[in-house]
Amino acid sequence: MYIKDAVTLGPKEKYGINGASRHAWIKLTQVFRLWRDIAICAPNLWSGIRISKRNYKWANAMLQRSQHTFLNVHVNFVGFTRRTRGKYKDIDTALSILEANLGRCKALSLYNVRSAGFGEFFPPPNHYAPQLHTFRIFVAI
Amino acid sequence: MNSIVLSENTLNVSALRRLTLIASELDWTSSFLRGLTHLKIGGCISEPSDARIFLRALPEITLLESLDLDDTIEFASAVPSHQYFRTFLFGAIWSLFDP
Repeated sequence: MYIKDAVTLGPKEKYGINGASRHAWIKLTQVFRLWRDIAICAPNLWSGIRISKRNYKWANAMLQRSQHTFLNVHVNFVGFTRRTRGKYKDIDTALSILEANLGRCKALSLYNVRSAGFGEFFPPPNHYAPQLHTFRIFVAI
Repeated sequence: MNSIVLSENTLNVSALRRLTLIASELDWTSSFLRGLTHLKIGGCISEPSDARIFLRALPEITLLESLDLDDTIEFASAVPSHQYFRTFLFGAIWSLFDP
């Protein structure tokens, strides 16, 4: 609880979950063991998930640590095309898990989407997202 | 125009309130539009025919509190043959929201 408050109330540029320094909040888990245990067991700390070519390694762990809480997901498709997709199996895995967790997405933002990427992420038939409140799509031109 | 089209066949949503759509197409007959309170579109209306469909759908979105057309109008006016389109679109939207 206190760690979450510290993260939320702290200067965004240093500690904000969605702040400029993307992985700064992960450092909270590296202060000492007690903080780590508390942080890992706080699902809300892990509910803001950013998936991109640069940080895909975190996606799986974050999705697991977020447990059953609602998600705020950002996916950046830069460098993620059909041609290169096979090279980044972790992204495939993360996106598959995300697709499976679409039902608890509260907010979903897709950046630099191309037809191929979108088609693979949302193949027909329908995907049901009953909790989705905010949806943003920015198509790469 | 990009071939990505957001429609009920793409994503089944019932609680959607805020939608931002940049440079892709939207099926303006989708029922999820009726629940929207915030809508932002950019580059979705490139032809006068698109504008007519959009203007026909807009009154159906009764909960709408915020409409952001981003650069839609500027985009339309940048095409010389579509300069009348800007006037048409702007005038139609203005009349829609003018009490």
